[in-house]
Amino acid sequence: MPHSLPVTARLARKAYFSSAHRYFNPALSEKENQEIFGSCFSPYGHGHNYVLEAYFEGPIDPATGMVMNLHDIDQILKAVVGPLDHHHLNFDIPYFKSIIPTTENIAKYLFENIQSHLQSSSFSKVELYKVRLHENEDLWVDYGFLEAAP
Amino acid sequence: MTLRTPVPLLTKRYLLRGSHKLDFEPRLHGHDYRIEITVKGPLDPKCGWIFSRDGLDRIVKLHLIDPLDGKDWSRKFPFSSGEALRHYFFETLKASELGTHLVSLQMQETEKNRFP
Repeated sequence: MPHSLPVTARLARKAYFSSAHRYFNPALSEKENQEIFGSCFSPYGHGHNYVLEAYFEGPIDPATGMVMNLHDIDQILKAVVGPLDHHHLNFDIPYFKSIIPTTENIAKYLFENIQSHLQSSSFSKVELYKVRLHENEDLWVDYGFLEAAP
Repeated sequence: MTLRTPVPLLTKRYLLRGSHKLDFEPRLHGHDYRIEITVKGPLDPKCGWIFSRDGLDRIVKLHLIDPLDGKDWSRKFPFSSGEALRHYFFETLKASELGTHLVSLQMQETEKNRFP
């Protein structure tokens, strides 16, 4: 067995939240919204059990053999998804007053928020390189530094 | 190479059922295939998404589900192995209006095997 560790490593962690949303662009007429967004346009909204996967890469701490303690990751993920959990994104989250809470935009919001929490923590050398946000089993969005995307 | 600007990719998963036979399993049999279609593109500022969900559903229905769901694929394609089917499905969508948006098509044949 080799005893030396590589300099860097990757790890991923999940977090769950349930939120309501509706797809609605106030700049468009009711008819246009209806045509573009279909059932996602209903005025009351509807909900999903979102599953967030956050992917990290960073230096291995020679003292612990870890990039980051899972407990510390959970603290960051909880701080980011906590405010969304059991809320209506359009009504309760200021960011989504002017931005439609599509899976793409929620993934972007989560990526940027986790990134900024990470940078102001004691793990500023760790990079968040991707989030995957599942709206359900049949629809998900990856957002980040994606190798497959040109 | 890793890009330094974060980008989004959208993936939707569809059910496509079909039967086939293989050299090592010449009896006709079928699977509930799960087809995972990944698309890229800039975030449309009007809609807040990369690609319309209804639009993607329509394209997949027109080019894959309507012509192929519930059919005997060993009569439709020269090879009906998972590797070959994944390739035919990908090329079919690549030639459709989805074309430039399509990044990948992955196919899960059973719980135990997939064609990434």
